[in-house]
Amino acid sequence: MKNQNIYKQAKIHLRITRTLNLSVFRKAVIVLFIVGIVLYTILFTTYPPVHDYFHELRHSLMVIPCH
Amino acid sequence: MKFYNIFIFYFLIIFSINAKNICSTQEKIYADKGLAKITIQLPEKQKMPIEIKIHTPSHILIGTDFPVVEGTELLDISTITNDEGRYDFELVFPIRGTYNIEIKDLATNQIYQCNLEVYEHFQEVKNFYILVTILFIVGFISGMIIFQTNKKKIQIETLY
Repeated sequence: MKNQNIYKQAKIHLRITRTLNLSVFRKAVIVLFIVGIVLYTILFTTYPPVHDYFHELRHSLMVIPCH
Repeated sequence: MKFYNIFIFYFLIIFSINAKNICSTQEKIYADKGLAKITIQLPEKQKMPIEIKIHTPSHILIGTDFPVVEGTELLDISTITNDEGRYDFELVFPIRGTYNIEIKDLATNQIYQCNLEVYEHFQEVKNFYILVTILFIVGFISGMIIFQTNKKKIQIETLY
């Protein structure tokens, strides 16, 4: 009886996790999206408060256009 | 078309040889580092009214941190050289690349051209390589994490 319960639980668990599972491609897309947002806000945005804070960092990185 | 190019190269070489005698600097010039001293020595060794024009270089593929000034006129002055046909001036160069200096002799209307090489600030180059390495490390670690989690799930599925 105990073993049967365990198997049932395992099957339910698998059913749930399978629906939550993300493929490598989707994970990579999510990671690249987050990294892209962070890099854009730090290095390329024209929004004044962010731009002014990272102004000197941008100028000291050789290829990042600032103004 | 190829012959045409050869002629252009020929003229460029002549200009570059001619330029070395006119514009000269004492040391390597770095972009945005401070005042750089440039001396202009005309072939006629006497007082001459001259007009100096400096054009900034334009970068197409890899830009600079100051894209507003790319491909514009940096300096346009008319002055008089000293008794030996020499003129010294100091200038801050905002971006890297080869600057085109045009010197017009107002007395004889002769134009001299010379190119000035300006290098990127060594600290900025260093920072750029640091940024690239950081990005590579972040990409490598995130890729490792994604691959490992996926591997574990495959193992669990094969167990049942």
